[in-house]
Amino acid sequence: MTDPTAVPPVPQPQSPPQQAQLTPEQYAQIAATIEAEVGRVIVGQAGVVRTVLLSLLCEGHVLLEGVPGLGKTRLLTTLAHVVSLDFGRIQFTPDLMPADVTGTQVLEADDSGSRKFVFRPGPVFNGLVLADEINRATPKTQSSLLEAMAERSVTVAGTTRVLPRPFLVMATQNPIEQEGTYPLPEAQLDRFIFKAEVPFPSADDLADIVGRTTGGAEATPRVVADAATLRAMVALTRQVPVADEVVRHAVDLVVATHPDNETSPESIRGYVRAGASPRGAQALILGAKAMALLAGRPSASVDDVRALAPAALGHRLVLGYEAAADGMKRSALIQGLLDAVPPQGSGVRGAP
Amino acid sequence: MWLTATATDVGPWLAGGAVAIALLGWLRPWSWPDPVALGLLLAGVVAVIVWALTMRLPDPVVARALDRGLETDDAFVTALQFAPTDPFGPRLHARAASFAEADVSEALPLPRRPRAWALLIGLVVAAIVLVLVRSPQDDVREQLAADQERIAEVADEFDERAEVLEEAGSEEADALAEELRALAETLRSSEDLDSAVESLEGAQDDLLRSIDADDLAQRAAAQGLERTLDANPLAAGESAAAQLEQLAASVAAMSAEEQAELAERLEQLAATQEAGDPETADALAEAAEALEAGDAAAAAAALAEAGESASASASAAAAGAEVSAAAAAAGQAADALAEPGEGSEAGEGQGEGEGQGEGEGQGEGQGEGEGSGAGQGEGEGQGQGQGTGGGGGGGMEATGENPSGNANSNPGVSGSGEMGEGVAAPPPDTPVLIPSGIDEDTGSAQVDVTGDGTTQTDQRVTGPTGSGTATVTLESIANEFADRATDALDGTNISGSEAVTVEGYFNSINQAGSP
Repeated sequence: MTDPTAVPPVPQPQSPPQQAQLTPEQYAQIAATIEAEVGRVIVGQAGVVRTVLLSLLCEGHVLLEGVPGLGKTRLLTTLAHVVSLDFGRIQFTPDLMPADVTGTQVLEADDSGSRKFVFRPGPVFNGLVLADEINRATPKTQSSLLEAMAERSVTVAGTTRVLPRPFLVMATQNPIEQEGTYPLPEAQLDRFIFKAEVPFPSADDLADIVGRTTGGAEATPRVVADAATLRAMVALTRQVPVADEVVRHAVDLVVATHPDNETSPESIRGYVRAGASPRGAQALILGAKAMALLAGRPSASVDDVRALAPAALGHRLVLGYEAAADGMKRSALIQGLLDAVPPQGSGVRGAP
Repeated sequence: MWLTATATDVGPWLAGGAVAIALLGWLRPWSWPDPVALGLLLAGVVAVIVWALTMRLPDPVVARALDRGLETDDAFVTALQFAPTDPFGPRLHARAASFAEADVSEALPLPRRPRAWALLIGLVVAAIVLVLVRSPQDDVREQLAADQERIAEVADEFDERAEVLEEAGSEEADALAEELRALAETLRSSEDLDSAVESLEGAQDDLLRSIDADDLAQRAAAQGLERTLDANPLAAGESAAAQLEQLAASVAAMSAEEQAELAERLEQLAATQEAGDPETADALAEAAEALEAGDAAAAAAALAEAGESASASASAAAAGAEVSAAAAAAGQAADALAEPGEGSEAGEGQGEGEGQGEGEGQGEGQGEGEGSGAGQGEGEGQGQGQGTGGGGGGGMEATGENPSGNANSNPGVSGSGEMGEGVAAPPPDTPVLIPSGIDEDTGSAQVDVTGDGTTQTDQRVTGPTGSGTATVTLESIANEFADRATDALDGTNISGSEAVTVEGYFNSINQAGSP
């Protein structure tokens, strides 16, 4: 249980540091502070918070799946507050239009009485965007957001407008109520660097949540970073060195998700129709770099890659009907994959 | 670490293989399993140790092993790939250096594999025990080795015999030498005693088949002529041919009386050669007739022709003798190899001899009277033989001798030929019946010698003691036996195989009797 009264030190300076001057130690300290500040509000979801933070540091987008009421929206609003980013929320509904996401041209009259079209930005023009219940909108509307996610720009009325950096979309899905929804196609799921399942909190965590949210004053997280700091952190993430062996292991894992590959385990062959795309390997390595910095290490490791495999590869597997029939979960498939593709041994007899 | 891991990984397989090979040595009489099993163990140990000492692992492999052992999150592998000048280089190398201060034994501890070690030790001990403990197959192996040694000795003997033949330089000798060398090689490649014996018997049969009756008769006639002229020369000369040629040169200078005496002698010689060497006999008879007619020149020409014929016969006889000797040697070697143990030692032999005699004493006995010149005729000798002795009894014909020169031989009595326990020759000091007890007046001989080392009394033979019991040792009379047997072999009525058998028998007696 997190003590809401415990206030971790805020890294100084608040002003955006120069990207080149941000050290791995500063990176780790800032990231730890962000987690701690968010954790003062979000209780019992440390894993989800870590996944969202990793997505932010990798400048990717994250898909959260969980029943309503688990604090997904609160997580993102808190994160936006802590890192001083603009926050936009889009509640996806069947009648939501693409213009409701991207913005549109409106006819306005100025003081002189002349009228002209003025672009009114949609909620996608924010640093952090919550696409709540994204599977309830039509595919057309979904694609408008997903295009912005991929291109990090929006084209309206022939004019392309670049989205702010950093730019993080956190989409949510309700795994229970599937009636009247439009499941995201595989190509669009692939745009999310990670997917995390938001678990129901434990009883202790739930009691803590109840205590915090029903009292007179709630904990207010502090601002510990800004957009410039985040950009520097994103840049530093990409500079983290990765050994060839680590890259190779990530590739081996991705390759083994394909059922027609000889290294794939039996479960993959039986339940998966299509494996992860190259974006899966990219997500593994990029996330491993961020994890290494968060852990205070100057390099990514095989263990970082393996730890990220469920979040980076699970939603990239296209399951067959056999999986649904047998109740096979993606997490079980990924675990089977990790078991089937162990890290490369030392190659020395007698050594691990 | 590598050493112990390799020992426990590979060792059980090697030791298991050694056990399996050693077990083969318990099941089969092969000589290689024991040394191979021990060699496998020793080679495995040496190879693993040498490999461990000389092995050089690549740096990435070592780095990876240290990363796994120290759980460094791939610090060493990454530091190895990025230079200190890279943006993260100093941090990478500093972090790796901090891990490098750890104890290597902690990073790479010796693998503990008690089960593998127990299995390895157990298998090694089992392999060594199986090799060192005497197995039933060891006796078989030793016997096979002894057999091979005996076979090699026999092969060496044939090689030596071939060398001697090659030194002779004749075409026949070279051909025979080549056959003997081939036989020696065949023997050396023999896997066991039976195949060696089979080879020897086959060679003996082949050699005997190469001797026809005419050759044997010619050889007998030539040898008889040589012995006769050696005992009672016609003229100076080392051989019969030389004497005849010398005589041809000097016959013209002889007196009429000497020529008449020579004519009579030549007639007698012609009679002895008629059966075996008709050409020489004709030449001698022609010379005799010429001398009786007083034609010294014709006699000289006939004598010269007789000398040439005798020389040719002597050469042919020598070649035939070599073949016979080789056949006899093959037969003796086969008999020796067929006998268990050391073979030629006295006393232990056994055989299945079914004494049989095929002696049909017949024909043309050949002999030589003692004292009163050669006498030969077509009498009917009387012969009887009883085969005894080790190696198979065989009926032996006895050729009668008659001082008058008439040898009568009756159909030989087939020998009963019971096989005794003895081998070819009784011990030299064993009393035996002497052949001097033969009654020369009757022209018959009755010899009864058993092979069990004791003598039996033949009532028809009195012997020096008058009782027929033995009074002399084998050593003292072996040569006499051999001489008489050789005389008997001169008879043309003895088949080649029987002649070889008899010759081998007496040769063995001589060998046993020699000090």
